[in-house]
Order: sequence, then C-alpha cells, then structure tokens
Amino acid sequence: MKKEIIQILKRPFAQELIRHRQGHDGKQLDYVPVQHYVDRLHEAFDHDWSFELTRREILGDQILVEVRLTAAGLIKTGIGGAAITRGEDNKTVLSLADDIKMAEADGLKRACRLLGIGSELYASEQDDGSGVISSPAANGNHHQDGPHSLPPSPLPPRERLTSAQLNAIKTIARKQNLDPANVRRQIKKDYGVEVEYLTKRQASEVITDLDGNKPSNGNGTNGNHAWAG
Amino acid sequence: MTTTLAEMRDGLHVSVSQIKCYLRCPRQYQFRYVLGAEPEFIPANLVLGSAVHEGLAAYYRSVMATGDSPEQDVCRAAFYGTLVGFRKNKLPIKDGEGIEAQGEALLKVFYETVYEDPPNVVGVEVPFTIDINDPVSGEILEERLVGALDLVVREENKHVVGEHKTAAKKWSRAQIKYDIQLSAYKLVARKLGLGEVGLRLQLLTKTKKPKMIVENTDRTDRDEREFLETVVGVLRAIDAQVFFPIRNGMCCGCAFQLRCSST
Repeated sequence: MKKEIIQILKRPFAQELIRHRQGHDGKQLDYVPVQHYVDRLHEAFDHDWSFELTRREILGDQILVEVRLTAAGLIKTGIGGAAITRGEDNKTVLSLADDIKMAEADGLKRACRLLGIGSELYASEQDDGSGVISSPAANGNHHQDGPHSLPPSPLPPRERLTSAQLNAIKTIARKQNLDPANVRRQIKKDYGVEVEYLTKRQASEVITDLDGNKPSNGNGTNGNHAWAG
Repeated sequence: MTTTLAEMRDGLHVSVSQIKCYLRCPRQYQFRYVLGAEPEFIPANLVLGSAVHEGLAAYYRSVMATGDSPEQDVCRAAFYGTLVGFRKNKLPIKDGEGIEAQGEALLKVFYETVYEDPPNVVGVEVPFTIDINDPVSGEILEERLVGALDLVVREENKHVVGEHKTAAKKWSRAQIKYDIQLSAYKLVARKLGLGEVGLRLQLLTKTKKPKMIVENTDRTDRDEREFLETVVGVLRAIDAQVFFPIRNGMCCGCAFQLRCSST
C-alpha cells in the first residue's frame, strides 16, 4: 500500500468529530460517527472500496454481524454488535432495522481499525457507539474467556505473496500465452521456491517482469527470466 | 457453473492434508510444497490409501445415481484404475508388492459391510473452498481452505459427513476426538449450508484380518475454533519460514529422507 494512503488512513480524527457517551461501567467513551470512517475510506481509496455483510446473527438480545471490507486488494474483517432496543414495556422491539444498521456500522468501524482508521479511539478497546455490545469473540463463538484463550502474541508482518499477486502472475502468464508449467519452472529456478511461496517483493518482481514480456517478443524472455522455457 | 477442486486449488490455498503434513514434520512440508522437491519414491501407504479411497468413492457415486448398491466390480475397477496411474509414474512405489491383495481385501470387507443397506448419498468428494478466519483477530487470511468432503449422506433429519481412512490399526478414542479433518468437515459443512451435521469416520484397518470400523463423532464450537487456531498458526509459521525437522519412526517412510539426511 502506498505511503500516502497509509498516512491518510492513520491520520487521527479531528477533535471536533469525536463524540462521547457513557459506557456500561459509567466511564466516558469516545467515538466517531460511522460517516466519518466512510469519508476517510473515500479519501484514501478514491471511492474504490467496498464492504459486504458476511454474517448476521441474533443471539438473545444481541445482534452480531461480520463485515468484510475490501480496498486496494486488502480484505479486512470486522465483527460488530448492537443490543436490540426495546420499548418501555421491555418487550416491544422499537426498530430492529436501526439496531442492525448500528451493528453493521460497528463492524465496519472495526474493519477500518485494521486498516489504521480511528485506531487512536481503540487504545483501550472501548466500544464506540451507543447500544454497542462489548467486543465479542472474533468468530462469534464466545470462547474469548475460556481457559484455552491465550493472549495473542505479536506477529511480524506477512512476507508471503498475496492471493491477488498469485492471481496476477497466473493471469498475465495466461494472457501472454505462456505455458504455466514453464512459468512455474522458471520461478523455481530463479527463486528456489514454488510460485505460491514467493515473498511479496519477489512476486512484485515477477509481475513486473512478466508484464514487460510482451507476446510479440516471440522468445518469451525478459529481464533475467526465460518465461517461455 | 460448478467450480472444480482443481480450479479451487488454482488460488492461494491450504488443505487439511498440507496442515497435517506440516504438523508431522515441517521440513517434509518444506521439501514437498515450498521447494517442490521431487520425492525419492511413492510410499505404498499413499498408493493403497488413494486407490481404496477411489474404490469407495466409485461405490457411493453409483449409489447416489441409482439408489442401490452396485456390483463390487465398480469398486475394484476404480481401485485398479488409480493403481495403474501410480504404476505408470516414473517414481517407484516403495514396498508396493502387496498392494493389490491388500486393496482387494479392504474393498471386500467394505463392500460386505455396506452393500445390503446403502445410505442415502447426497454427495461424494464434494469440493469446497472457504475463508480462513483468524479466531483471535477476526482477520480473513489470504489463503483459503480447499478440499473435498469424502461423503455426505442424509439420515433422518440431518446430513452426516463421512471421512474414509485406511490405517494400520484401529484409531484410539483420542485420535477420533482430535482428528482435524473431521473438525474441518464440521466447519465446512456449516459454511456450505448443510447445517449442524453429524460426523462419521469409516476406517478400514490393514490388519491381518481387515475390518471396517464405523465411528460416529462430533465437534464443538471450541474444536472448530482450535482447528482454525491450528491452521492460522501453521500458516504463520510457514510465512516465517519455520521448517525444522522432526525425527521419529516415520522418517524411514518419508519420500525425502535422503535429501533430508544430507541437509
């Protein structure tokens, strides 16, 4: 991802956008309305992003959703939740649609956080919308507090190529009428590993090299590679 | 249009077999999948297991098509067809002399167990591809989990997913309880919309007197979560290029033993 996009994503929200509400434990919680997250996504990705609802469940009085945010070839998942709002009689559901929208907004915000948007608001893992349930287990299985739940260890950034890179290599090779077996063999020869185990950097090199290997070359060679075998 | 297993494998993926391979020996995984090294031979167990698997699949496909048990020759034809394919390979089959006799015996016991009461088969070798969610962060990984459900049958008001195995001996309780293939099946079945399925292990033992052992089992949400933790952990280790060797009695059956010894 380009440096300038990362800067846009990680830019803290302006103070005047931050609102406050009382949390379940009486503490004041900061949050930013979802529209500002959407605006930030538009700004960073020039409107070229999407999100979809991949799961919605109603568990007792809670709505649990999972959303998938796709932008710049990255996919981030967010789990969101909201309590079902009931009337004074404690039975009548006031507006399930609004509650679902709130849960989806919560999920989108959490997916945005994985891209760096609004991460300053999550420093203490607070909820950020009225009626939002406390952070559920990531897969909705509610085992977060189980005896087997260990704190996640810090992870190094992924080195291996992405799915989009693998697809790009195969697509470009196909478009250029290159024999997939030859491309695979050449990659193995050049990098010592199967194409699926290239690093991101190596995959970028291969894509650049293949892209410059126009079919009209005839011999299928470019740079250091002999793609036609 | 139905997507084939081969098409599903075209993208960045991982299979339960690959995860099991890594857990057995990370270095073997490295040779086989990362470096794409040529094996020194084909283990007889792999050949027998694959050929018998095809024999069983042929039986269930026929049941699915006709509702009735076919002749045993349907199983045998599929078994020998697979075997011929292996024999044509330029690599030798190690200790492969008795495969035909052993396969015949296993298919016979299988057929005798099932032919009188064929199940209501709704799927055989059902290909699947699902997202892998990190159960801790909720993130969807780049790799997808790809594979095939050996068998799906309908029983009363639910589906039962079956796994076929050939093994040297009967599995222990713990093996049945913790087999990650079955955990994967449970997760996959739900994602494919089959609902809460039952799980069944059909084990053919390569004992002197072969047996078919059928074990019904189940998996909890916790099992599924732990399965995902295992998959994510293995993928992270692969990304970090953690490929250490594990030396044990299985090394003599490993198809990369010479290469491994000289590393």
